Amino acid sequence: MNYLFKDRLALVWIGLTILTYVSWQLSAWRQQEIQVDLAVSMTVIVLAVIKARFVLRIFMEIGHASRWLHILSDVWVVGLPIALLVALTW
Amino acid sequence: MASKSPDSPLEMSEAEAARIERHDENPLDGIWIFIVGDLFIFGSYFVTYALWRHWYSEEFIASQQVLSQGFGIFNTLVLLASSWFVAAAIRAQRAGDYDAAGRLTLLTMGWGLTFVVSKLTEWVIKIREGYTFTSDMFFQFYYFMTGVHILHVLFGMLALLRLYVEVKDPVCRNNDTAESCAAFWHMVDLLWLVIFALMYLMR
Repeated sequence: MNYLFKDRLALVWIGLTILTYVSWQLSAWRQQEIQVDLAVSMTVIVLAVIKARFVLRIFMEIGHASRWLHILSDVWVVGLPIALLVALTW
Repeated sequence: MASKSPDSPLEMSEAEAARIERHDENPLDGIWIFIVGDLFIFGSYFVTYALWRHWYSEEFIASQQVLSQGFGIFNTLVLLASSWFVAAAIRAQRAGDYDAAGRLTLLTMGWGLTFVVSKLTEWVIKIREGYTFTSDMFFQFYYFMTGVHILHVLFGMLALLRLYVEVKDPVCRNNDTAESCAAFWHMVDLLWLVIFALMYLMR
């Protein structure tokens, strides 16, 4: 089971868990609100794509793919929150 | 002018060396193309959901409050753990420690099964409470997106089973297949991270 602690895997998992907890608390803080809160919405989305990038880079090792594919994965990571922001304010 | 690869005694042209340097050749590109393509397809679902949420925000927020954040956070932690374990399984396989790779793959499947049971339980509870696919647009998106995602989870578990069978059989072991199965499973986790943010956490 030592492999769970190789290549910063455990550290990344702890970081992802902490980010998940922070997102949850941020959302729970405004749970009773019935108005749209764009700041909270965008913060949890940005935290989600930050987590997604860690999964792509460290767990999935997309750096092993051809360069055009890991560039496209970064386009997705950056482009998704921008596209969602546009959709949420259209 | 020819140059020598550090890994190979064969002579190669400068163009060939430059091509390898640019990582334009990769035996696993098939799975990466599928994964990146799937990310963009799901991205289009996510943007469509955000548009509808913006247009019918009161209805969406009211329905979203019916969802259990407890299930959402539990499922997220389960899939994050599964990704961690399958990443460790691949490290074990690369090191030639097939017993550890097998155990870690089995544990990953255990996490996957936990997610499936939890998600189905959540669905059953919601349906019994009267929130079905036809209740409103929010629940149409909810059942559609989590439904397509759980199909990915089930297929991912099939891939993990194949990985386990290969790890246990010295004749069948194939690192490329193992890496592909693991990469698919990570994608399942990654997509859930965004679904969780959109359906459970957005305000």
